[in-house]
Amino acid sequence: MTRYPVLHPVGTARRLARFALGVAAGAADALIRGVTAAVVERLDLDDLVSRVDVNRVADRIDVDRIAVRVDVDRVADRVDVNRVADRVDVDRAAGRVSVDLVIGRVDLDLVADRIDVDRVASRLDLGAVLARLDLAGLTKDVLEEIDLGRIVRDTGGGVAAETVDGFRARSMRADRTVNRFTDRLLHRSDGSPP
Amino acid sequence: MTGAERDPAPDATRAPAQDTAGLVTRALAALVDSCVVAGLGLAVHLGAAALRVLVTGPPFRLPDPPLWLSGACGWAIALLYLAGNWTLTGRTSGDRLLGLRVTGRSGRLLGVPRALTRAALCLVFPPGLLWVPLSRRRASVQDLVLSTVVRYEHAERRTHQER
Repeated sequence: MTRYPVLHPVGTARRLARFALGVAAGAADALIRGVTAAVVERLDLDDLVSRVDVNRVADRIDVDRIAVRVDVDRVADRVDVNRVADRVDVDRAAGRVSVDLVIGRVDLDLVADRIDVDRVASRLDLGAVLARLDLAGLTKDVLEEIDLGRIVRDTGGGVAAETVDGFRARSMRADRTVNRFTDRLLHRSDGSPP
Repeated sequence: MTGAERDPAPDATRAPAQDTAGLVTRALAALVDSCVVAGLGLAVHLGAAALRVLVTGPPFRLPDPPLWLSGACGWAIALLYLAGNWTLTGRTSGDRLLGLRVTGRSGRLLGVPRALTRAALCLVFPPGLLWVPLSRRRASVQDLVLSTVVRYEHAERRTHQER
């Protein structure tokens, strides 16, 4: 015996309601898209942006709250420093720096006042510096350059010669004085030195 | 007036009185020479001590010779020093410092006998130097005896240039 399906009234109503809701949703989507496209098409975005008071918006932003929520470590982890460094043109950056201007703005006196010379000196390893210097060679070169031996010879010889000459001149004057005295004593006028 | 003054040398190199060294310069030269001789005596003394160490071995001790031996050695050193210098160059160290030169009246260097005799006379009779200011040609007793002259070096050079 053959069984024929019988329309169940509740199921049929449910299917009809579901079909109606689907059709309504599609119509609503189509309607919203159409309306949105029409609104966008009619809006003058430049005019809208020009009306925005950026300062007022900025005043209302709580930067501290944003900063608290930023995970700096996570941001830093995601930054590829090497890639950034590769893209930086150091020569070009250096070329744009005005060294004279920088030097002119540096207060050297202030810098010098802040330097602790004693501390710097205490950290110097003079022994290592001296060990790297060829003091013997340096001294030899300097002595060769100024020819100290010649200066000493010239100076010493000159001083000694002047001293001896002065000594001789004084003794000769003394001789003449003695001779004059004895000539006068002996009433001699000839043969004596002038 | 001395004999030498009565019989002056006829040659052109005879020293004028103003070129002849006076008492002060000669005394200073003699003082320097006595210091040099003292140094030589000390050197001889040390040399004798060193010789004794070499011969007899240590310890090193300075010899203590009798007074007569020290005097004789000192006298011999002075004699040889003066005579040697006057013979070879005409100048002792003192003469060199004071710019003096001892020669014969002709300007020539002294021979060995005359230099030895002059040195001996200087050592035996040093007061002979005091005759210099009294002499017309500024000669000491030794100069008068041996016919020598002590001249300033610049006068010596001038004489050579004139020749």
